[in-house]
Amino acid sequence: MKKRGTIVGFLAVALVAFFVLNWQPVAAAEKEVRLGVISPSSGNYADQGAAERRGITMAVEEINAKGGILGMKVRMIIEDTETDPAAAARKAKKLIERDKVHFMLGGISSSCAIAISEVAQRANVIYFNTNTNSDACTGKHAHRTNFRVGPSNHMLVFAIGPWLIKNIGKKWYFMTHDYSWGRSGTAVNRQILKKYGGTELGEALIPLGTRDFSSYLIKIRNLPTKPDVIMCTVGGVDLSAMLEQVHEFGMDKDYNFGFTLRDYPDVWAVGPEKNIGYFAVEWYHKLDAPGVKEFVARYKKRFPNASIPVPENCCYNGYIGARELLRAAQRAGTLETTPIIKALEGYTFSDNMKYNPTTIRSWDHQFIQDVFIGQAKKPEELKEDPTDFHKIIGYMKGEEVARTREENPVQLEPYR
Amino acid sequence: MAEFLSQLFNGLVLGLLFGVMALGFMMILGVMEVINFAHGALFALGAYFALTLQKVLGYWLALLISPLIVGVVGLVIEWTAVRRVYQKDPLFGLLMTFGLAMALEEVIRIVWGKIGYSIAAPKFVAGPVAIGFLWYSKYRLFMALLSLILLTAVWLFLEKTPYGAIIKAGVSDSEMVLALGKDLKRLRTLVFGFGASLAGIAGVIAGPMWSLKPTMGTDVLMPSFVVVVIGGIGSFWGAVIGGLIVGLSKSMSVLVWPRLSDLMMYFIMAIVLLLRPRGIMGEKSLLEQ
Repeated sequence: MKKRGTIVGFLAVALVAFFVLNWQPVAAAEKEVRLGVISPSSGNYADQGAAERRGITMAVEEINAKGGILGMKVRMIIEDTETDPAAAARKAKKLIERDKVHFMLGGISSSCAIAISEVAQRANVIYFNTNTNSDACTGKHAHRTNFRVGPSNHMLVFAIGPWLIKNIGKKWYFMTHDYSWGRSGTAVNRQILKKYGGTELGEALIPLGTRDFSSYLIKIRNLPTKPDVIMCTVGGVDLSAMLEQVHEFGMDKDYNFGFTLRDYPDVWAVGPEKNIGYFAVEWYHKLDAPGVKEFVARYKKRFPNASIPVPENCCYNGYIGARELLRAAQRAGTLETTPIIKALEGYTFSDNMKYNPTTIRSWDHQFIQDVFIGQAKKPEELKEDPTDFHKIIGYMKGEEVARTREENPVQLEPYR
Repeated sequence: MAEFLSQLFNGLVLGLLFGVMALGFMMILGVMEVINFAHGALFALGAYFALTLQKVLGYWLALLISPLIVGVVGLVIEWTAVRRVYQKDPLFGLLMTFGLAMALEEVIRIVWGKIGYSIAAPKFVAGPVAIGFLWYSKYRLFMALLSLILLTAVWLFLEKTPYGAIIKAGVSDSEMVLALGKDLKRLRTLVFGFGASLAGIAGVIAGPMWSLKPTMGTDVLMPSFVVVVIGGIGSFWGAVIGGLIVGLSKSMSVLVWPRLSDLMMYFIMAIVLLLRPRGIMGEKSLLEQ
């Protein structure tokens, strides 16, 4: 009897909790659209965070200049994830509960984005993670409210990987940033090796925040077999420090480096002398695609003193993410979550400053888009334009490189 | 074997730099009984001053002047803030220097911006060099040499000059120094300034290797602390040996299990604390009260 009482009591508490947590005041007439921008301004990805916020700012200002959406101006509320998942989740809660934001976007670190997307899904708030690439973000941790603007690691690696196998060699050594994005990157790279019959010579797991790479580099020098490619999924300030030391130890002369992704801010920080390797790129400001030149001009006008003088991949994803999110609300004619999700799912847009249109895939919410293959330019090739770090040597269409439904059997939560 | 020797060598080189970093930290802890959490921030300041000065004055002058400026910053900090927490509960000192560290980091953000910077190594030591069994960075050899010169200079200063004797006496028993009629107040200010400039010069040396960012100080604070705990407070050789142990632990664990390379120093610290709480070469101090 006593036991049943406990169970009933527990159920009652759970029921009350359920209603309290799900209770939302009857939508009062809104006067503004609140966009929670949740992105790092400190920690490993501070530079990338600043870059994506520039893109987001441009999109919001352009939309506001045309009268906003649904007759309301859009206001950004910015929070710093500190490149730390725990802080990111805390800030996401704050944005939802205290600031009552209608949507959230931002990210950079996949681990942070995963933490934010859990919070967002619980609260049924749409979250666009703008510059993450871990396959987990639209795989194991996919959510109905979560959309990923940038390409997945699978897309990036299936662009650069086969190119490296064909043109450089099949014996690879891995340098893996030891968190969600890095591990996911190396996992896809292993698939490439398997598919094309390559050999793995080993892996170095690099903890986030590593300053000194000398022992890892010495290890590679002493491998019994010389790797054809040192395939790196390392990013942020850590990558800048690594490039610095790769140069210092003369590894750039004797080895070929491949990178799952090249974030422009990382090479901008180290300069043309230490800019090396072959890599996948999400977007580049010298692409010959419609709208690119105008976008670069608008950026330069808006941010004449930005630490990076041109828009780069993080800025691009921030811009596209914010613009498409707000446009979807306009299409849906409401700020309610479910209609906007439906307006996004399966939507295709072609003013994306790439060669082919981008589609927001309905079943995993991955933006399917062109991925570019790049090669680092030599310092003397930058004489004319000091911002022109990459040589774009090819590209793959999104659907050619993205996971199929069989490869990524996710089930999103039902609409709420 | 070649890899073993390479990693051993690399560990020793890193260890020397950790030694320089920890030496200043240890001296301040010894004389003032203050765990100086701002030590890392002073290290970062050294690197940033060098970044700016190098463009104007060139490498050598920047190497010389940046640590001096950091030393002056140290004097000012001691004179205005740190001095107020002497003889109080160690928690006050901890909070005070922790706050200072955050404030200095913010100053760096304001002055130099949030973005990371890279300092080029001076031309004559740029690039790699082959020495027998290993390819090594010329800059790191140069850095090891600088660290050795610095450590020797500090050792000579502590052992062979009357000032050194007073500082050593201050480390072992500051009240007795006072009783003997030495100006303890001034001694403390000077030691703080000296410790700060040691942090500064370590920052200047490490800059081209690890690249600059506002939080670079926090990254080296923990290793410095571990070095001091392992080596012991109040001993010059403690800091050097502690530094070498931490350097070696980082490089040698890559041979066995790379994921351990950041953790290894903490395991060693735990073992040392269990067996000999005052550290390998340390004397009885704050950490044992």
